[in-house]
Amino acid sequence: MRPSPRRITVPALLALILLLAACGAQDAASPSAAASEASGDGGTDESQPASGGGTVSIGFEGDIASLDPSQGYDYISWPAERLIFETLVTYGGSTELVPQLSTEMPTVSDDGLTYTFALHEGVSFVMPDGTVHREMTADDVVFSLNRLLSPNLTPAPSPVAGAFYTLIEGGQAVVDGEADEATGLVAVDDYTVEITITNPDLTFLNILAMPFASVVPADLATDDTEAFSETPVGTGPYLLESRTIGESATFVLNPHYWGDPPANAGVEFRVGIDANTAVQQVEANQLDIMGDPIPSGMVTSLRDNPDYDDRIFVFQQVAVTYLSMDTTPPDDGPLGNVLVRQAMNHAIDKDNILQLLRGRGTVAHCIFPTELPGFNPDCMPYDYDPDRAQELMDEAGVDGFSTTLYTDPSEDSSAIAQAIQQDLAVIGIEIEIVTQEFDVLLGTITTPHEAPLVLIGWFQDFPDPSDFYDPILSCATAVEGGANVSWYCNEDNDALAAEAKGLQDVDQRLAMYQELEQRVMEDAPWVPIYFPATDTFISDRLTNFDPHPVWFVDLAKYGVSG
Amino acid sequence: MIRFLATRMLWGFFVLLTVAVVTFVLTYVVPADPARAIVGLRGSAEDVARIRDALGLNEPFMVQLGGYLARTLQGDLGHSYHHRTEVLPLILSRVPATAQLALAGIAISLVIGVPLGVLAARRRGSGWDRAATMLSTVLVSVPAFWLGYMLIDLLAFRPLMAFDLALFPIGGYEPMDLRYLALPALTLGATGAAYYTRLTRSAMLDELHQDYVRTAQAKGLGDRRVTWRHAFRNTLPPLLTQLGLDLGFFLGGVVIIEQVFSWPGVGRLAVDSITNTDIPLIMGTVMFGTFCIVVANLLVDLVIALIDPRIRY
Repeated sequence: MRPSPRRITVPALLALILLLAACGAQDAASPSAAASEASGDGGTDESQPASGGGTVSIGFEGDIASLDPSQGYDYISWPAERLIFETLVTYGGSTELVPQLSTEMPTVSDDGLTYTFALHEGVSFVMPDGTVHREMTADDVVFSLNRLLSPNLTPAPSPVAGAFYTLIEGGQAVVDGEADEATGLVAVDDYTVEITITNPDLTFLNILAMPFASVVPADLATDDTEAFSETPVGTGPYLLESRTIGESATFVLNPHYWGDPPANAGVEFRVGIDANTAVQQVEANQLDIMGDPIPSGMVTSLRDNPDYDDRIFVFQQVAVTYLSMDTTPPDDGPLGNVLVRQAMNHAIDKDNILQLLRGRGTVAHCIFPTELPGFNPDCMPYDYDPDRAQELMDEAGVDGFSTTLYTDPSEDSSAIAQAIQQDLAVIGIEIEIVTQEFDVLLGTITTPHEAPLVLIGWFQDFPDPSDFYDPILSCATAVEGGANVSWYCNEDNDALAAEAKGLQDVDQRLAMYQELEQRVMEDAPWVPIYFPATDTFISDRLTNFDPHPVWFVDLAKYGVSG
Repeated sequence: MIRFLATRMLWGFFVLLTVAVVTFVLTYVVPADPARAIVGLRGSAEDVARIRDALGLNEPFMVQLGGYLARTLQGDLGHSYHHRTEVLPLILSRVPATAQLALAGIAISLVIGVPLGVLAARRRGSGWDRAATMLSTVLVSVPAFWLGYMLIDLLAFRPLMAFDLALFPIGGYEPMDLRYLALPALTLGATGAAYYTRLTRSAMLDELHQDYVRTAQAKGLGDRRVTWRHAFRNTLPPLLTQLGLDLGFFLGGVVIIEQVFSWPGVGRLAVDSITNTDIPLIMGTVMFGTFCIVVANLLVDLVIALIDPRIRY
């Protein structure tokens, strides 16, 4: 007799599930496997040095894009890359540059073009299994920068080689495929590297401190960036123990690390974690650091809890959110009139906007953020004054107009856009708000004159005022595909910026940038809205946590107690 | 039967081909530029052009489409722009997590939904019927993400914080671990149970009014035997059809529940691919989901033929 189908389907299905699940249930740790991992008790390799306590865990909703330093360009990949790789110079606890693989800060030639680095001796590349590959030499430094410039990397070249590293003499020729090596990169001997750049530019050191410029072994880092990302080999304090895309990446101590040992025994990146879940895991000490900001719906309840006073960190980002205005509209429209743009600067109530954002940031009166070297607290050219705004509109002879504001669909952007809409309506400017997904928005706003008004933010690549002028306000980037979305071009300002960039005297340089900032604000291509702050939530057991002004997290410095 | 199988497989191939072409066209016309997404606002137009060139995005549309279809036929779904790895192994690495959740969720749906539906039909108009109908209405109405968050909060987070009682983990995934699987499976199963209750009740009511049921009762068979051996057997085709659709659909990714429970399945991979304008991965996850549905439907048809002697191919 053929058995009844129901006897096959439901119980068999159930039995299969329970059998499969039960196989693994006995492995469940108490109170949870996640907690056990986080505690670091027995979770790390026995061969590791016993420096510090257990493993520090950090959670993100997104994932590490790549562990090949030529590729990763996001806030998750960078802290992971920095565990494995090192650069010639880096940032200490502040925005000040300090030597890393270089024994001291480089000597710079009188013309400001040639930088000479003396390298530490006895620095080893260490394989993921903990074996020493070989010593790092100057050839590796030269190779790493040439590799970064190479158009032959697969599946794609570095996303920012052209934006940052063509400053190296001969770098453009490598990017364009006309040369294999940049003429400006020379290994003088095993421990001396000489780098020549095309124009005097002190920010070159900031560019060398970006993880893109990490030193990789010439004989292991091939053009296949996917392969190198799977087996990354560097000189840094950690080794990649394991990685499952979409789940986690575990880093253990490099037993042959040449520098000071980290304050913990390892780092675990838990990725793909829902932000609400991450908050609860941090509350329960199952996760040490929230890599993403606290979800807005949970901020109030967490901040109201006095037990969490020393576990919630709010810190100012080196970033600015601004309303960009098309300064050269093709139809000779009102936004091309500087008086109209100045009127808009007077018309927007930024204090009100900051209240809408629950105070997460600081009102921006000018361009350079509060934490950026060169910030000028006296730069306040436009106060909130709707009457003055109306006067300027009258002076301009503009009796109101309609225009369109483009922004992304995030909660904050929508709130700011609506507040701007209401404020500008008072002086007769009617605004239609168009929201686009960020990747779509990028295409729209980098197309000349497609977006009359744009609400957008700019985050530092490195802490220098040039990073808040060159890419977003210079003539060179007021072109299709450029990030100067107000299409603002003032050649006198560009000349001043070029002069400031080459100066060796830091004070004089910053003063020049402050003058530049004043000049730009007179032309009013933007309404600076606010300098955003972000927050994070840490576990009760994490020690030494202090948000880094450039990196956000400096994972090697944190320990865990208990 | 062989002819039926060959025909269905051919149709399945055409479905996959159509979905591939339609999805490719849709991703092509979307205004987001994947190269711009990779370089961000900082990259220059030249950087964007270089990346587009390297990814083959500057080729004419028909060349890109033809190349994609040719590679897909060879089992090569390309490389993920965001994850920097091959698409097919990436998707396959997520299948065990999704499969566990899908199978467990469907099992819970059936275990709760089918008996409840049969009970409601057998005692139509009674308190049991009203309770079952009300329960299924509530479960259908409750958003899965809300139920998921509530289960995490009430059964995982609060017992741990209040009593140091780790009943369930606060989200996350461990392969083949019942403690991790329980809450997401219950969330998925609860919603599914509501559908199966309604479906079973409706199908059973139809069957219970058939002549053969009256005949069986007239010849003195017991209620239980009439219900389960006669009427219920005839409700299986619509149930199995729904089961097949669910299985195919869920294996393609249980999007919201995977998101809420930080469950690394195919569904979350699909969401991430859209967020990152990762076109090869969008294509891959859509193709995989379609493949699962096509295969599940084929299997359902075969199973129904096996259990229903009236159906022969």
